[in-house]
Amino acid sequence: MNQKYIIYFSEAIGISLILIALFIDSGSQNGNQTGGQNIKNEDGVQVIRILARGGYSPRQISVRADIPVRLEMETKGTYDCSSVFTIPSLGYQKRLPSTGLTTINVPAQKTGTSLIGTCGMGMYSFEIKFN
Amino acid sequence: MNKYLFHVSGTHCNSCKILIENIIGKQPGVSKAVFDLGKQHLTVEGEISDSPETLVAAWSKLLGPHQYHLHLEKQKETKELKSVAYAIPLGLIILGLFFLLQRSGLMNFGFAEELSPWTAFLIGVIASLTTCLAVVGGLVLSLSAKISQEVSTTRPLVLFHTGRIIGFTILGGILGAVGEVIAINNTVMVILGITTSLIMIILGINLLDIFHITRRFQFALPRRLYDYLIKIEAGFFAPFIIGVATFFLPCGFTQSMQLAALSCGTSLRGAAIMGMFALGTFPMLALISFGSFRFARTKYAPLFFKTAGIVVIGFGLLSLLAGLAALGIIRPLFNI
Repeated sequence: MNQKYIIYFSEAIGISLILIALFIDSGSQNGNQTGGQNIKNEDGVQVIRILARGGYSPRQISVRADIPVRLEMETKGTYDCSSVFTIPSLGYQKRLPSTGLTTINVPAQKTGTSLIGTCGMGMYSFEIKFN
Repeated sequence: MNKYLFHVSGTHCNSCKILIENIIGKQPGVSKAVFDLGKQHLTVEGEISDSPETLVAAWSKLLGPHQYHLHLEKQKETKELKSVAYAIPLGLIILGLFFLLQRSGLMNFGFAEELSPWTAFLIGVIASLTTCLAVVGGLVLSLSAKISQEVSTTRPLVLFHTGRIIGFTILGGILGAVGEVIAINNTVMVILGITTSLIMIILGINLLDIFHITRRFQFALPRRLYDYLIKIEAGFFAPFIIGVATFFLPCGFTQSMQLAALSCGTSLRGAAIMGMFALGTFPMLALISFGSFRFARTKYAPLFFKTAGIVVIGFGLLSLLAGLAALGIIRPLFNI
């Protein structure tokens, strides 16, 4: 009987470790969400800069619909998965240089749609929402 | 002509059936040995003068090194089930710790712009502890655990690691020399990754081996492949080639190292970068594979195989879902 409880207890620990890791987002960190005022507007193009290193930040971005977007992927000594960058819905794939700035021009998108960028293996991602 | 029935415990798979039949079939007087994996019954026929008790004593010595146990009476299976009960929480805790390590941000280093072979070595160490652990480590774990069940020397494992390090060095040299020509399309890499994750899930379920009924439907090795695996023990190529092939496994770190090797311009430097990267991943991967081999030969073997099964299934699902997200088929469910 006693053993049974030990097993249940450690099962609960294991599951909660996974849940904590997966769902309690590192959302408290700064710069995970951005939108509105923080998006620069240059010559009618919304400019979003995303740092790619051990994941992408910010990870949730909201921009205006029907206005083209320029994505600036910034890498700083990046050698992990996030340097292999894809936007599946646009069929875009690129291995980012380990340090540098890669510009991607995204045409204007409709209201309510979103674009997802992921790393090569899909383990890191970010989302741009068009409102 | 007499006929005896024995009960055998400690068997995992169809390969065990073939191994047991091969060993017992060769014993003096035995004309036919048939092992029923589902019932775990060993039926032996032949002109045998010894009593069943003497046979059990003699044959146990032959089967003991393979962790099979021969009995006259049916043994209760509680021991096996108990190990599942312990394996599930253990496996979950290992997976949980892995996720926490990723989430902690401890592993998100930035490195200098100029990539030296020493930096490549360090990146290799980190790669073997992070996202690459899920893909390459998971595959190594499932293959090593499976190999430990099939063969009795570490030679295939040594060959695997040798193949990986030599292969990375040579292919890195080629990348450095020819440049962009052989850059691999990411979609191909992702599909390769999804295939790998499916193999991991299948091997994981196999390692779990919860119900004896499932053994009959197991993805059993056909006899010919089994004979081939036995030859691996003396053979050279298969594990070596698999080691070399891990160069093409989708692991973000490997891919960015390949990019660095591509852009460095000389084959010597490309070889140094990729070789040092592979060396950096070696300690963790060696721990996984030789550790599996050691555990497989202790009394904790059933617990080890089942825990490995849970971890491998977890890593397999993780990379499967991630791979589907990278293809744009599903929304990304998580960020490691």
